[in-house]
Amino acid sequence: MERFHGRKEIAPAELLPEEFLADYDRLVASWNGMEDDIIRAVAPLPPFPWLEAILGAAVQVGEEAIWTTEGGFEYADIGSLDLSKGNSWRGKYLEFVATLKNHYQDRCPVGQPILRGVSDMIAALRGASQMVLDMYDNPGQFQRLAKLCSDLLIELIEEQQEITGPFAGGYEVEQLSLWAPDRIIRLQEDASVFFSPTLYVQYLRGENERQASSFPYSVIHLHSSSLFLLDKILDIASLKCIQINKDVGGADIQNMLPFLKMVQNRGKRLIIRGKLDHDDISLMRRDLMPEGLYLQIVVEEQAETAGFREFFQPWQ
Amino acid sequence: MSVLEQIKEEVIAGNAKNVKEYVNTAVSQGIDVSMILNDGLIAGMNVIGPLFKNNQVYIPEVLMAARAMHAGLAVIKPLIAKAGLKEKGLVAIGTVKGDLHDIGKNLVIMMLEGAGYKVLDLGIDVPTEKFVQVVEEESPQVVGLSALLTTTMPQMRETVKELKKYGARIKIIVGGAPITAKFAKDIGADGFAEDAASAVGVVTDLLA
Repeated sequence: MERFHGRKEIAPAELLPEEFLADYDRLVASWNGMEDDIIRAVAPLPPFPWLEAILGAAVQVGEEAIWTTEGGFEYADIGSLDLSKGNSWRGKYLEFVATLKNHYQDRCPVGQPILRGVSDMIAALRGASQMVLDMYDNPGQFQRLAKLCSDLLIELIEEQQEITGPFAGGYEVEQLSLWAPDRIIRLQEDASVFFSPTLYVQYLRGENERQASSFPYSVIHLHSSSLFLLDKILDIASLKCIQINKDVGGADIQNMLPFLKMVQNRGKRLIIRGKLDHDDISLMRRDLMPEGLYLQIVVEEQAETAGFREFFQPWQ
Repeated sequence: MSVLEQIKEEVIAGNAKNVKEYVNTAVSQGIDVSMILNDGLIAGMNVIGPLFKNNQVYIPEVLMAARAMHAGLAVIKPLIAKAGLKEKGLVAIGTVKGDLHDIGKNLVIMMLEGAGYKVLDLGIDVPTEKFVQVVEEESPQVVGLSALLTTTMPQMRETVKELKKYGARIKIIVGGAPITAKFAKDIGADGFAEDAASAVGVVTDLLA
């Protein structure tokens, strides 16, 4: 992506999936030495803001990140949004899916990458502060845009899964290396941190419910900063699994425990991902049920994993 | 309820239209502009700040209150200048280079403005040179640096290092999700704001 550094906008035609295959091959080769049971997937350029690009936001590439220019979208333009299969960014995403599937066949699955949620898409289009004000000033327009964004996410995952078909009988969420025995969708609403519980219920929960119920399996990705919405999120009956990050600078496990227990008590599967240390794991061993719990411990170096082996005994 | 109390209550409720109306009423009643500002508009934000800090209200309520306060402020702005009232101080604030997140910075700006400070919003992805230029040209008493990404924390360190060359002429505060009090101290910042609501107290203490 270096050739795009500093550009104000890139076009879909400039991204050729074949040019990235060597990088993907290096990634897949790096999995060979790992002695675990995880099914890892490839995905269309995981950090790429695909949905925002499909919605018409300008994509910029920096040294550390790929992002879209925030704001500038007017509700008057909703009618002219072309989100059809003829949308060139939508076509480019699916071109990546098809190329990866063709290249890897049954060696590894082609999974869903990080695709942003409805609030993230609207924040990208309108700006985060304006998005919040819109719910007071233009509630009808906000809901219309939210529905469009939700439809886009659902349709894109459905199209991807039609192209790839199942892998080992199931489908994969690439970001979480999470395989499910049937079709699965990964939800996220990072920008829901700008909502209140009332506004979440009023404007977002219905869309999350629709997304989750469109697939047999579903997982929502959350940061600790959004846990004040957890109680409302858990009301989504069709949502199968909650994935919560332990973020650098975010809440620690001690403070997250009441929320983690709430997830389990409400009958949902729980994935906790982050730089967990031995104290964190001891706390969780004490307070959480092992059934339906998946810890994704992030380490800097592979050698660090040896120190965690003692914790991988069957829990009482 | 006095008109000043009504202004305060409508700011808390985030009702910009009513705030504007009551501020106009207060002006027409000949109420001193400093009272409208301090006992009405700022008093309302002074209630919202602690409520937000204690998770009793959320970001949308803060945004609505700030918008309501600005609606009232717009009415009395010409009168403030005429009365020779001065802001409490000038704060320049921006998100450091490489970081594109602005909501935390924007919340801090709202809180500071709500407390009577003048704020220069330098935006996002602000290089060190821009911070230096603003210090040279605008002479803020406080410079605020925000970062959401751990990857931009080294950039924050770099910018603070440059700004420290101005010595006691400016105070530097830092904040953002991954920033800790220890990190702030390590890089030489004068103050650390744990959240947007705390920023007002930190700035006030530094300028005391």
